[in-house]
This record gives sequence, structure tokens and C-alpha cells, in this order.
Amino acid sequence: MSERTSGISTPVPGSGDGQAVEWGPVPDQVAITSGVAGRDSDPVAEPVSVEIPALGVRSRLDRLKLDAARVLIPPADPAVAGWFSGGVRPGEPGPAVIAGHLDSRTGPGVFARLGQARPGQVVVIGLAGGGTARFRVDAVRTYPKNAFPTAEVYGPAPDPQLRLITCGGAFNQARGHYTDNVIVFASELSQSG
Amino acid sequence: MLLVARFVRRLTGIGTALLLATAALVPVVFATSAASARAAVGHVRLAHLSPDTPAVDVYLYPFGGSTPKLVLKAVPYGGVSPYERLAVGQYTVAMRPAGAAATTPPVLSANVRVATGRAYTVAGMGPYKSIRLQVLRDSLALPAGKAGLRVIAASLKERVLKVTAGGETIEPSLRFAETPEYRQWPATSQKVTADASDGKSATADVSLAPGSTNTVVVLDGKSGLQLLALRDAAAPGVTPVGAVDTGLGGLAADSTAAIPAVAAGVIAGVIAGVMVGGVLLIRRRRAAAP
Repeated sequence: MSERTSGISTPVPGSGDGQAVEWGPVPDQVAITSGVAGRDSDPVAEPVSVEIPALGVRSRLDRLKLDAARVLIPPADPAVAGWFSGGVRPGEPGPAVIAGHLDSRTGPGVFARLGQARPGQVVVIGLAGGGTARFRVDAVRTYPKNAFPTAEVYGPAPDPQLRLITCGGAFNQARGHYTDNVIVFASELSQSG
Repeated sequence: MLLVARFVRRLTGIGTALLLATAALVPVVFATSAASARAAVGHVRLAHLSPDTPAVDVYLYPFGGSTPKLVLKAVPYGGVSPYERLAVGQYTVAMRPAGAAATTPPVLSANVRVATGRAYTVAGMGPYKSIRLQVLRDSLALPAGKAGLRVIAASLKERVLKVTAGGETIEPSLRFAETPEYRQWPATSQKVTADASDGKSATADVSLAPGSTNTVVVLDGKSGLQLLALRDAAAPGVTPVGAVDTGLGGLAADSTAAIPAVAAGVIAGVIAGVMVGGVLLIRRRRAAAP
């Protein structure tokens, strides 16, 4: 049998003790694609709520849009989170993005406790029509806003992913903004309709 | 003893003042990277695209390991698995004849290095006599409003194809088992058509979402050519620029929010020093009392 390994030669289990099976070319094979995952999965309904039970975080979801410079406009209400409605819906393949305020001018905002999220915790997204999409936290990371990880947050993914974003770091009084973003990365656990 | 006490008092006063000064600036949300270390992940799917190779069992091993992370049994020509989430690192894909014991030598193997946030297809391609495992990269950054489209020719009967999408030629002369790059393509629904030199042809309606990567595989079907449209990865159609301003400062410096931070620190430090001094004074008096 001619060498068929491609790439670097590498140790692979299988030393030849087992019986070799009949193996040869088969002309006129017809492709079997019935087992292949379909492109058109059922469309996912719009997200309407977010909850992180372990942190006691819960909010309805407003729709967030981009301004003329394509910057994400944060939620109008510090007590209400929002999802980037020009992007991916939570539960669809790709990265869905939800943002919420760390604080108001006088006290905690809807995502005041987001930075306390830990890997393994569950995020529940309520969908229009009553379904849910559940995600599991993979990581919680802080980045300076001037080095925002755009590719990691918005880059393509084959599976449903979620990013929850709020502020952190020092509050710059002169500019009226925090210096950092705190981002929770999560991937899908399950969906129910 | 007294000297030490004085020294300690002074230190404590300064220490407390410093602590309170930094409190005005200190992060309210602590997200330590140690506590939240992440398993960086990528995605791999497996495909059998060799028209005259019989069904295979596909094994995915961590590089150098002997326990497979994934085993797919009896994958036929045309079979494409869903993406598997994998921790970043090196893996080995091995294919054995369907039904062969895991201890037999594989007929095919290749390494794939999985990087954070990337997706790959590892496909057995080419004719049986020279089948190779190709590692294809499935992730691509795209300009706003565009999709990525890639066509793979996996038909043994029609070795050269002309492929059009939405009426435009995407591959003028695509050869069997070539591994072309993604083309940036308008993100619309469109007909993809593969034409062979002998007049045989196949067509499929494919909707390309903005920001998505897509692969169309041309296969030998029951009655001529057959197109298999795969969705590779998805992303927002328009990628927002920069960071998100989601904080108004209420948790940053409480009642001293209106006062410049340094001044707040100094005031706090003075108060702290007076308090500490007062406590030690009381202690000394107590100690002095009979």
C-alpha cells in the first residue's frame, strides 16, 4: 500500500497488529449528503431578555444600533441592557453581542456585577415567542478601550457565541468614561423553542 | 518601644492615606486573568471528498495522544461532519477503512494546528490512488456587506468545471481536488452553477449572509453533478468600530465624584491620619493607665 500520509510524519496509534480490512477504489460512487448539517437551520427569534442567575443579573433587551462612525451606541437606560441588532442573534451561528452599563451617574447599573462572572456560569437569553438560548461562560477578560479586541469579539464563528460587554478600569473624570471594557465570552449550551 | 510605636503610626497614616487616594481611581470591577483563565478554542470539521474512496472511520487525536477526542464511523463520500469545538493546539486526523480496528495503521493522516477563534475543514481529497488529507482554513475577515464563497471540485467524472455565482464567473477553470481560496462576494441569495466541458451542469440556490464564509462542493450525484452548499462561519454583516462606552461613573468615586481625584485622596488621607492618630492616642492612654 503506497504511503498516503500527507503533512509531517507523525506518530498515530495503529502499529499493524490488527487485521487489515478489504480496501480498494470504488468506481461510480454517488455522494451521500443526507447526514450533512443543513445550511438553513430554523431562524432564531429575536432576543428579548438576558439573565445570569448566578449573579442575580436580569434585564430586558433593547436594540442597539451603530452611529455614523459605526461605533456601537450604548443603551439609553443604565438599568437596561441591549443587543447589537445589526449583528448576529443569540442562538444563530456567529458572535452575538450584548452591552449594558456598569453604573449610572449615581449608583450601580444593570451590569454592575458582570465582572464577577466565572467560567461555567450560565447565561439565559429569552427569545421572542417564549424560547430560550442558553450559553456557558468560557472567559471573563478586561481590555483597555484603546486596544479593544474587535476580531475576538466580532470575528466569525461557526457556532452560536455570545459576548457580554460592560465598562471597567479607572473612571476618567475629565472624559466621563471608563478606561476599560470588561467582556464575558460564552458559547452555546442549548436552545429550546 | 515608643519609637517603634511612633514609626508604626506614621507608616499606618501614610499607608492609609495612599490606600484611600488610590481608592478614588481603583477599578470597581476586578476581572483577574488568573481567576478567569480561558480555554482558547477553535473549530474543526472533517470531510470525505474522494469520489472513489470507500467509507472511512475518522479519528481525531491530540498530537501524540492515543485516545481520540472524536471518532466518526463510516463517513461516506460526500460526508461532512459538524464543527467540533477544540482547545487550541496540535491535533492529528487519521482515517481508517470503515470497520477497521483502531489498532490498525491508518490509510491517511495529517496534522492540524488549531489557533484561537479559527475554523478548519480537514478533508480527504483527490482520487483513491493519490488521496490526501487537506487542511483548509475556514475563517476570513470580510469587508462590510460581503460574504466569502469558495468552491471545491470533488467530482471524478467531471475534472474541470466553470463555476458561476449570481451570473458572474467565480471559478473559470476549477480543477478536481484543487483547494481554492475564498472569493469576496456580494452577500445576496444567488444561483451557483457548475458547468462541465461535456455540457453537464448542476445548480443550487445559495443565500450568502453578510460576514459569512460559505463553501460549495461539487460532487458526483445520482444523476450527474450535485452541489452541496455548506455554511462555514458567520459574523455580523457590519463590524462595529472600537469599544463600547457602558459606564457613567456612579460606582467610581461615590460622593467625591465632583472633586478632583488627587484632592479627594489628600482629604481622605488627612482624615485617615487623624483617625489613626486618635486611635493610637487612646491606646497609649490606656497603656499608661495603671
